Amino acid sequence: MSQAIVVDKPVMPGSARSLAFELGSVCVSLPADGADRPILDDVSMEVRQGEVVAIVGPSGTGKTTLLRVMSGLVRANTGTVLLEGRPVVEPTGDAVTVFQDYASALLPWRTVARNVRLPLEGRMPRSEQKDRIARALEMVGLADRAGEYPWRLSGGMQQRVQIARALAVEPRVLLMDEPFGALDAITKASLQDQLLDVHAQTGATIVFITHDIEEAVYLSDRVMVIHGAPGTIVHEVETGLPRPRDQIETRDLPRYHTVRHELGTVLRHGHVL
Amino acid sequence: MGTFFSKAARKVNWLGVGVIVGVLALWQLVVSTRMLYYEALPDPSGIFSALKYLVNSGLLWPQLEHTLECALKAWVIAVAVGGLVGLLMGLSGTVAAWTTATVNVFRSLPVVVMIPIAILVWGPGTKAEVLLGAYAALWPMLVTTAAGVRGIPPRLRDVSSTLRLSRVASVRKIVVPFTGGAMLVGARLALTVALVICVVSEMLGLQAGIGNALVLEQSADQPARMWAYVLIVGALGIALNAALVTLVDVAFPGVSALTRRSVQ
Repeated sequence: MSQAIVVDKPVMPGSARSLAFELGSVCVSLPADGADRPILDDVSMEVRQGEVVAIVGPSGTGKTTLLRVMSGLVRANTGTVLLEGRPVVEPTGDAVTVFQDYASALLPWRTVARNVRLPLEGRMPRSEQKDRIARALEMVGLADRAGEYPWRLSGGMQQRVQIARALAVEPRVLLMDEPFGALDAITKASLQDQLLDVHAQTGATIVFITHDIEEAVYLSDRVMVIHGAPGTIVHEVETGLPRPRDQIETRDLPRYHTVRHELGTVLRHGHVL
Repeated sequence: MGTFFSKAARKVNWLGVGVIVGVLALWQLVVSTRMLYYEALPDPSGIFSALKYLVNSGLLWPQLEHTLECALKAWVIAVAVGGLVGLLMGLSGTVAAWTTATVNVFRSLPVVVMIPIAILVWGPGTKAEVLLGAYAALWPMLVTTAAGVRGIPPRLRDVSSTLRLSRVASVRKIVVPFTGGAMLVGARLALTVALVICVVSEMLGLQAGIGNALVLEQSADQPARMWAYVLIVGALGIALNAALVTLVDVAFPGVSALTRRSVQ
């Protein structure tokens, strides 16, 4: 693949980069049983451009809500949410969300290619749509499945269709809510590597939620731990692992184990010992 | 052409056809051997010759045309109005709040009681028949469409917002196709109901159509011809349904692929 989907200035890891997301003292309450229940409490975080950030935390700590706030699907009650310096009030083409439940997020009456075309229709000439669809499907390795209906594909392939649909928008940020949570271990590993490829090719910022500490460490530059109800960010760790990563080599590095141990401790106790 | 026929032959449920043939043979047997004898129960061959007579004498066509035209007009009105109102009721909580009670009252009223009223208001003509059929067929279309829209998973709303689809695009590209299956079910029910109500209103006071012809044959003491009309109404229902399914297959391949998936 010589053509990168996002032709944003590629940013070298480690250099001074500008910020993708800036969240300042974000609080969110959502209506539940007639009353407003606090979901997120005083969340502040920054995500640099081109960075891969994982958000881990136990169930019910507001991980999904945090991602929805970043995507503009939910508005914060108080606090600031900035994407590249602009307040996020609704979904923009700059940040696209990929959901865990690919089966209900894809349109079963559309073929793979037409699912990927959904966000492009009416926004650009047909020829450009075709180019983008081809590139996005190529990037997730589904170029030969363009004419199939998604429900004829395996779960891993369906999730790749959803990722391709997000990539077709050429967003600068990919937000992913437990993208590989519903997949088996082998499929998961291959999709993780595919995501790393996509990241290397596009330079997109990626923020994803996971329950899986190993996945968080393996994929990310930084891991945030969210804890409590209402949830707040209790810990943050730079993985400091070299790229490109390798399912066997990277997972053998001493640093990998150190970070995993640290995250495991925080998740168990809610703070660093 | 050869493949078309072999495909069609494979689609036919031969066991089912065998049962029908068996029932007809048994019927012929018990009637012609007088094991079973009623004045008004002719044997299949008698009904067949009556049918042949109706076709050849030209008595059948005007009646068939009238009923078909009324039922189709009624169906089109019902599908258009029911589909639109159903979509609005499913999409908008406000519309649903204002209309649900009224819909439930009107739809639980047996349509047959409206026939004399309609004839009083519009006279015993085509207009009354079409409106009666449309009124009856409206409800299944409306109710299944509204339920279909409400069945859309909330996730698709998220997808529509994160991909920044406009309200119109979202309705056109997600809501309507998602509801397509339910609308098709509604449209098929509506077609049957439209045909039934048109025939019934012809029997109960209108001066044309198959229903009217059937009642006239009854008073003329022509049971075989009466039975022939009964068969024609049945065949009409089957043919209309098959035509509709084929039409949807051609016009919306995605929806019919989905329907096939649920069968698989």
